[in-house]
Amino acid sequence: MSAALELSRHDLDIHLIEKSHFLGGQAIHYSCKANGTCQGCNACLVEEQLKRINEAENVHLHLASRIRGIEQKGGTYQLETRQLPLFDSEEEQEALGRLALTKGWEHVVQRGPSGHNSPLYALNWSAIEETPDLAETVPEAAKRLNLKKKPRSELIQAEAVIPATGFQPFDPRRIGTFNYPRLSNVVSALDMEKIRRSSGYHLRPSDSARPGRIAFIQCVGSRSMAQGNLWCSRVCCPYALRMARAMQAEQPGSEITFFYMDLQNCGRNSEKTLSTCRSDFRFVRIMPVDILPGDNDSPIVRYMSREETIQEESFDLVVLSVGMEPGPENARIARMLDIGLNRHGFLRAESGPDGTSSQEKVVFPAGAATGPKDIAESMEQATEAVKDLLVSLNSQGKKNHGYERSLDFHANTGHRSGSDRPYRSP
Amino acid sequence: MFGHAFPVNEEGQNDADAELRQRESLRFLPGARLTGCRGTLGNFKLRLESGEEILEETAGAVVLACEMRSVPLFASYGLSGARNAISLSRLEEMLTSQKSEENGASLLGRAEQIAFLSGFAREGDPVSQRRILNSLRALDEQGYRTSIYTRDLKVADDGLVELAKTDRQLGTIFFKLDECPDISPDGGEIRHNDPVLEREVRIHPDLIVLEERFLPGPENERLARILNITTNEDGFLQDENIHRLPVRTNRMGVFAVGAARGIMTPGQTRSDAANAALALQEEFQSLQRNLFGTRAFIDEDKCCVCLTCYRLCPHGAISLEQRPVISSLACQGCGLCASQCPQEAISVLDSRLEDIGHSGSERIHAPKNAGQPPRIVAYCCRNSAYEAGMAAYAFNRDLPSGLIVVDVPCAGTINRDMILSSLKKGADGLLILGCHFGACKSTWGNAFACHQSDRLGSILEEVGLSRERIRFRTLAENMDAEFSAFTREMEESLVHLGRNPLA
Repeated sequence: MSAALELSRHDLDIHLIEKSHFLGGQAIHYSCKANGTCQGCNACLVEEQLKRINEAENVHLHLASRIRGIEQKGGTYQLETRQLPLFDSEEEQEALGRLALTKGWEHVVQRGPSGHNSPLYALNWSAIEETPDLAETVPEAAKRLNLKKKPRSELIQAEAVIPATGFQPFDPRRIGTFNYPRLSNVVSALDMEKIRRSSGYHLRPSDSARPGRIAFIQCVGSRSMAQGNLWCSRVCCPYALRMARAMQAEQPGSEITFFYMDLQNCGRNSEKTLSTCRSDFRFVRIMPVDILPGDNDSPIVRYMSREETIQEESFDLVVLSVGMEPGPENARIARMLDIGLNRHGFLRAESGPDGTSSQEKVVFPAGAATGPKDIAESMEQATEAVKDLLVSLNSQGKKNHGYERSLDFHANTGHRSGSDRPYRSP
Repeated sequence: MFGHAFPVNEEGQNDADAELRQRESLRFLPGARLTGCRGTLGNFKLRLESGEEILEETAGAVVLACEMRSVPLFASYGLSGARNAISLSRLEEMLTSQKSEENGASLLGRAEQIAFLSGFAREGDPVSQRRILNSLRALDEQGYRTSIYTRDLKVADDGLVELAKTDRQLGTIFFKLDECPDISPDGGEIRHNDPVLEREVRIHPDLIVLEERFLPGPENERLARILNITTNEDGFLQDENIHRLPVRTNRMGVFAVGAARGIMTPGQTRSDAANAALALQEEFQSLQRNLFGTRAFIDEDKCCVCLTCYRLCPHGAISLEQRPVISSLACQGCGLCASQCPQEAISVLDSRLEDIGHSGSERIHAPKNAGQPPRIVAYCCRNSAYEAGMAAYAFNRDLPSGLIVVDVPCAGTINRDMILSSLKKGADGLLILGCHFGACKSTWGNAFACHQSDRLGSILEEVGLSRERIRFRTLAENMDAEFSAFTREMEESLVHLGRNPLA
């Protein structure tokens, strides 16, 4: 998204290909962590970018589009995509909006996480496919929707490609002893973000109460030999500390415990933030063994104390600070674009010593697809990828601003209306 | 890409590489000091001093790329008198010179046991951590016995987790402690109660390597003063406001990259350079955009040259010629100058802004019968609260039916007249919704708004109204849930307070 925005200021045609119905990736789900004063989480910058993308006239959005194949033919890339039907007319959007409020049908409609997602509503196709005779039972609200619309194929031509497919949050179900999600009050940090976004508060799922005793478990899926993830995800200490501070501002007197290995720095002005956190929260340097059910839906965290005894502690809520993993499609994307993966499975930037790609490959991976990054770092790196791309186009003897060309991106999430607009070929 | 550049090197070093020197668009000024800066984005007048010579240069923009420096922390560890304590930089020098000597003769002398200390006198950082882990590895490979005492390993950068693992396999002993171990003043012994081994551990290092503190460049303070930009708490040349990211400062047209703005990895510094180049391009493109966009104008007939606007402009967009001049390139149209001008000589060209005080109050026309819900006018900053409000409507959130949302370019633009005219027209309550502190695009617009709301509250009290009728709150763009909560809260207290008697 950042890269597309940066490029949109140039005389270029940009195709933004998004797998989901909504643009913004994981980051658009994050909530603001301010406690009256900005804590520098940068979540609002994602909102702003989404707004600006919608306003950029030379960015053509292809939402709900999956890339089926990429062919490189004499300096251009041909991308074949398959796009699920969008219901982006005003009438259809209204119908979806009403359907979302119809009892028993809520799950058939997806709503974008941001007010800037456009269209705001999309049909949940997997729910439709699960119910074959849906068309007969459809309520009044959905009568205007043609549920028989078929996916369509598109062929997009581009002179350069920026794969920006993001990351995958670690799935805490893979650590069976944590009993996620069997215990309702054991949540991932991402779950907590979504609860905060929708309710305005950090509530525990079982009874929507404000938790008083909260545990954060750091490095869930990061720095783990068992999971094969030998990297620090970088973002979890900052986001967990900011979330904890926001929780404490919301519910003064709440007791917050961190189970951790090493505390990482927290954005800018980190020294001061960390010293406040060290006095406001309790830090236990240990990775808990398991999380068990307890009374009143309060999970019990079991860990080995420093005295080698087994400790059990009950919390109202346990937040798992899940790490970042390579996107599930990285291997497929790398194969299609003929680029490499690093040893962890993130996309490798194939740039030469001067930052430019080779003549044949005009591919510039960006953002968290290339490794764990926070919002600011992803944006910075995206701009760097754009710079490399512009330099590369220049070095191929084509003038930078002289004429129209077409570029291509795929981001992970998405939308806006007007997907039927004609594409200009290079 | 465009234009010409003249790199100024205050330390007089001549370190540009040969290829750069050949570029005609670059003119190098080694040994020149920046001693003055007037003007605005697109037209800065720089004063440079080089020895006896004084140069006047015109520049479209200024990029700050100052180096930082590191200072050893002997005193913090009580090791000022220890002969076996050296800084990390010194060790790195030793390792480098060792490499250049062909016979491999060790400058490290007869040291066998080497201990590193970091993270107790300051929080570490991944840049230093990488240096420490690399040094440990080099020493391990040469057969030294190494150990590191640290509070937290700062591994939040590419490959550091694996590097620490390698060091461990090569023999480095890692002690992670919450408190600094006891170190004898001569550096001869380090002692601590080990939480893992559950016993006292003493080691007798032949060499102690200490962490260093990074400090901003020595000239930063002076440069910040000359360029009139704000620094962060540590003295780096970019404040904490997120809207400056990645490379902007509070003054339009002045950028900070790499070590000028904080402790950066080499990768981040390269990335900063790319970001600065493209940001520069964007600024100059904005000339066209701004001709039709938002900006402020001064009516010269009304202006009494009090310089309030000049002092106040959070973007450094106003320069002083004979009188204050607003740069159309740098002006962000926040309207702070207009709201504070005592002569009302400044107007902001903005179709949406003209509505303020008019459309806000015009839209208050509900009949005054008792059954009507309270009428709330919410003045919302366009950068945050207005977006949150629009999202709240889009998501069908619970909102007061008597709510009127008015968008303003910055919460700081609201003034007494706007508020009072809304009250006169029949608003029962007023909300001023701005950005969170520290995240205002106009730096102090939200602080103005907060102050203004407080003062207006006092005025209301003086005329016998409750100060509860006017409130200031902060919001972010994605806080639609909170927008709904704030407005509902306001409605409830207005139901309690009853109708505005002025209406």
